[in-house]
Amino acid sequence: MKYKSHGITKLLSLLFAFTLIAAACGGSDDPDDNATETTEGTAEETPDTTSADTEIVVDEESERQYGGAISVGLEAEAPGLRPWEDAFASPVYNMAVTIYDKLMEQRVDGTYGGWLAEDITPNEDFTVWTLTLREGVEFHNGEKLTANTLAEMFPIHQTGAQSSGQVTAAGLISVEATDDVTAVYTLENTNSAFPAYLARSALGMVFDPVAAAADTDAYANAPIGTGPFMIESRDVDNQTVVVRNPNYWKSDADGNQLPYLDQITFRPIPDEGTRLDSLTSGTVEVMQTLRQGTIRDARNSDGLTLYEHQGNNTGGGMYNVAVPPFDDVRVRNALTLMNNQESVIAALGGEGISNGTTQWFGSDSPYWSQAAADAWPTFDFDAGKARLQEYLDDPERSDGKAVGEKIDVDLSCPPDPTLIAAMQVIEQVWTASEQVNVTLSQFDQATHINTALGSPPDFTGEHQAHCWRWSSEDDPSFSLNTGFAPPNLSPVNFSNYFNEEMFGLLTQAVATTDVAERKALYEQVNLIIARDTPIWYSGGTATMIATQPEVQGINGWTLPDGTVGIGFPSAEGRYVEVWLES
Amino acid sequence: MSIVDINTPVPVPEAALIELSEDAKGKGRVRRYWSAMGWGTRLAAVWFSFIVLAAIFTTLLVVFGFEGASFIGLQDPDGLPFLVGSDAKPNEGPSLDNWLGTDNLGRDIFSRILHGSRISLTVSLTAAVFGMTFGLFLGCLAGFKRGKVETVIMSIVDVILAFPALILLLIMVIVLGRQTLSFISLTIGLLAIPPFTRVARANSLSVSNREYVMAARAIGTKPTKILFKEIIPNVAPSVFGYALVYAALIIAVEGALAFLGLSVQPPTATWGQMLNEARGDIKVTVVPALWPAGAFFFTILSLNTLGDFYRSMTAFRGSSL
Amino acid sequence: MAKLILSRLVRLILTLLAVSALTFFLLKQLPGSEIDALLPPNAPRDPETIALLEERFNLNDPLPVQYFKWLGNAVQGDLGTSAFGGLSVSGQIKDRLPITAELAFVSVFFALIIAVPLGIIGAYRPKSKTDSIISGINQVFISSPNYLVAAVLLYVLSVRYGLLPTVGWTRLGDSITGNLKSVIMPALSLALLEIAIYTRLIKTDMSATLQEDFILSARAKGLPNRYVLFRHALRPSSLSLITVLGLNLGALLGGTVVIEFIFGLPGIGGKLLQSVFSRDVVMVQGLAVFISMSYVVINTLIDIAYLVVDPRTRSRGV
Repeated sequence: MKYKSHGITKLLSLLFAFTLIAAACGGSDDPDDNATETTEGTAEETPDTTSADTEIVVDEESERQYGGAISVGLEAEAPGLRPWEDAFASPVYNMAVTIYDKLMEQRVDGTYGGWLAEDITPNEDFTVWTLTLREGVEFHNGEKLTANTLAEMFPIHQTGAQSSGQVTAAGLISVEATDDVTAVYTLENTNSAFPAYLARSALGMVFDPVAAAADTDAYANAPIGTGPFMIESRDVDNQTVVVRNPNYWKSDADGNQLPYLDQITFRPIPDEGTRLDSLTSGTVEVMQTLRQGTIRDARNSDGLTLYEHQGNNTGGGMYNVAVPPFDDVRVRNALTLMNNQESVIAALGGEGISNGTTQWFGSDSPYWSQAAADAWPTFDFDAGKARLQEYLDDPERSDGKAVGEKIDVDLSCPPDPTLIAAMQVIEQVWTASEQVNVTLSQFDQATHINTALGSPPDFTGEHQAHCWRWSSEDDPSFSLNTGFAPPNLSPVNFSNYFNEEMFGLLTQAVATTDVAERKALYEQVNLIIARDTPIWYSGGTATMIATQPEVQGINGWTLPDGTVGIGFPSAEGRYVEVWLES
Repeated sequence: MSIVDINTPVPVPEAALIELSEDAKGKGRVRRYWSAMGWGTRLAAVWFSFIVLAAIFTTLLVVFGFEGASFIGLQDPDGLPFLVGSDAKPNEGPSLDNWLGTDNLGRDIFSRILHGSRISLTVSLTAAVFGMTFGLFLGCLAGFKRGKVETVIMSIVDVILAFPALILLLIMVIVLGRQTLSFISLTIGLLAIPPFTRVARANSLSVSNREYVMAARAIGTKPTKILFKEIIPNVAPSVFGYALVYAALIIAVEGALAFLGLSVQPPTATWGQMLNEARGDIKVTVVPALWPAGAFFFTILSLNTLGDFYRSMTAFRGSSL
Repeated sequence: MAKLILSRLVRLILTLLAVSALTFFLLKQLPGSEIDALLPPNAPRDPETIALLEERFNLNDPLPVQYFKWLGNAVQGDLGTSAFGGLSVSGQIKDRLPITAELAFVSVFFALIIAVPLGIIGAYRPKSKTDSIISGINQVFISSPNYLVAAVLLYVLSVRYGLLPTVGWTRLGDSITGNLKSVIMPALSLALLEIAIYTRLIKTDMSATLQEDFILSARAKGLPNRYVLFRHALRPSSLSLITVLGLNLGALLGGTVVIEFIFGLPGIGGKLLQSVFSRDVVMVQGLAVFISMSYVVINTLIDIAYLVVDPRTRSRGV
């Protein structure tokens, strides 16, 4: 049997294939593409540096009204919704705060105010905190919220996967109810930042401890809180529907009962492009993103309202100082000097969106310091080469190699497309110095974290140069005090860097609530980090909530005392005061 | 079935016995094959040869360094523009300097596509050869020996086939370590053995019943000799036909792995990695995604076309049913 | 036939044992314990808390003990409960199987209604223009990785023309049209390759059948061509199709990982992938056992169907 090939068919198939690909990529003859270019043009004319931060103010312009339903597209889903047990990443947080109220909330100036708590007062050395609870609050199932509820939550907190660590970190020993509205929190040691823990999801979110203890697995997907919305239905990885809580305790400034919306549907849409498409095509009315590239694309789309947040969160990485050659400060300094922040941010798609980072805090933070900013080794390729040459020429160099020989660096990042781009930039610059042999490696998230954790007894870890995200809107003590504690006692001291002076400063900072005093202490800490560079920063990671224009009230929600809340840090939105403009 | 499911032994009817027809054997086979091709198949052959040449050439470049390669528009595939002294911007369209434009980091796409062919071919050919060699032997052994040997071999094969291959691959990549080219190729190769074993066994069953095998047995030829002299040589062509199609499948698997961030580690250019990186900027420009997508498609198409042609040049004799 | 079923049953049990043990011990080799994956990255890991958590999630026994405890429960129908979100494995299978199964069956359905006529035409008029166009299109289909097809469909149908929703799944019980809208694109992405494969199979087998005596005699009787093709020739020509169909369905019930990932479908494959990444050993193990079971069961059913469709194979002992 001879094979006869059909030329026409093959040609047709090739043509068909090509149209298939061309269609995939979209004809450039579409008018939309031109529109995109013009938007880009205008964006360049007006510098974006200021618009990177959306100002958080109470929106007084339009009339607030009741009713309506919205859909929210989220980057991720939580398998369960138990604050003490399941991890609430920022996307999930959007969903959790509709169901659960927290005891405390953060204000726009970074301080903390009561939410379900009326008030919280410490004793003199910040070891005993007395919390006064709001009266007349009910759970979705009709149970009353009393101080006893908080006391009953504590044993569950002690064994919860998420909360047990928080209990340890806060040094919480006991929670006792002295009367219906008074709960006393006793700590092991001085901690002036304790109210911040009650504003976090794991310890601060109030759940019904009786129902939770009765059937914890069932609670995961039928959660009961006191929040503005109640769970209506939940289809994990598909959609979660919450409906208005008609008995919600909070009212707006005019005395109207909250919330305004009747219903919210949360949809996990992991793919960034698809999530933005869902917003522009109207499948969802609200979306959140933690990616700068998506912010860029959203800026280029018409008719969306964008709420961008710069915040403290910053990308970067760490050196494992327990491992040569990173035990030598010259190597760490040099590699940091050769970290081209600008190119890394560009690779992340964050040009004109995110700023370079010089310290633990973003420029909006009350703790941001000019002195620390000046001290940080910003990109200086030649200075970096010179610094590294000192090490290479040192006959006593710690990695035991011959004088002049290149150092070996293993740079590892999780397999996220933007991080892959960023790590290649760093790798290329380091390689270009001709002093460094760089190997790149990628591991999935769990392996990545585990490599940095290490194992007992010394928790050194196998990592060398390791991508990491630093800081957050949380109180700085949360990650700094454990992150730079003696490495053999604190597995989460990932860089294994320990400096007694710095640790002393960090301990002092949790013995005072005075912002000016704390700022001075954290400035010293940042200066030490800039000098010894156990970690490096690339750039702030701007986040965004984007909405259809009719969605109002994402911005400027308020605390019960009338002060303005933190807004939407890390794209964690609050929906209690959201309404639809007709 | 998903195309990224590397365990699926389907595109070739598995029990169809294929043998080289007489006229395709012997001298001048290449010329005879070429003249038997339609021009579509010839195009496929040309494209595939081009990819093979590109892979060989870029391998030489990697081994001996990049100097002097710029005469055909090749650049350092990993070189960032501000480091290699070019003024290319990210996501530029095709130009004289960058024939196919630049990617999200301003690197030359043309060079990266050529270098990517090295990865795609190494992974797919290693896997196909590995799977074919061991699969052929095990399958023929099972089909010829029958009995306990067959039960043991085929039970193991069934266990592996019953497990979603991509997940197994993923776990092995995570458990066993680093994402080097050789490691990924060998892991995929290991997982390629079961489907090849199945195909080989099915074919060896019918070969074992052939007159010449019966005759060999009757005159008391040693079983080992029958296996190696009669069974394996006669099953090999059909398994080879399957290998061509399978190689095409594996090229797509690399893309799926890259999609999950677990292909050969960066900065090594792979088509899957390129596609994955272009995905992030797809709203800015689609051009950088077009080239790796095209490279995938045409290479898979050409392998399939050549596989078809190979099968058409070999005669069907006997059917499974 | 009873002997066949019995031997298949033994093989099924052995396969399930092997798969569950393989998954369990392989996953336990993954870097990072389940407790570490469960805790937030910056949680201070004091040994007491870790010990407490290990006890809560039954992770403090030696590995073989853990495995046999699991096995003991599994035999009684309890595949366990995941530490992540407190989801029961069987509950997840129950929630997700309808989606994965619908996707599998719809894609196979799409493929069959297109492939059967194309294959018959190809066999009936070999070497004609139509035949060569069909093989050309098939060649394109077979060479398009499903993730590329998915990207094209998403771009064209959702983003460009807004005909279909981009993501999500509407359950059949909620809305029939909504359900259809969510199944079209993912099913189509999977169907292209199947179309190509089925068309080839039918064409090959049908060509052989058309040479057989009973077809010639049916034609000689003056029966219309269409009648002969569909009534007389199709059934004996569908044997390899049935085999492959079984393989495909078996693979689809667990193998649509990438497509479920792209379209954000809450199916079994997506959960499996997610669970590997989150080190959710209980979930991976349970899902793997379920997937292997459906694969083996479907293939056994296919073997039995073989005996029914074509009595000739009975003596050959498939």
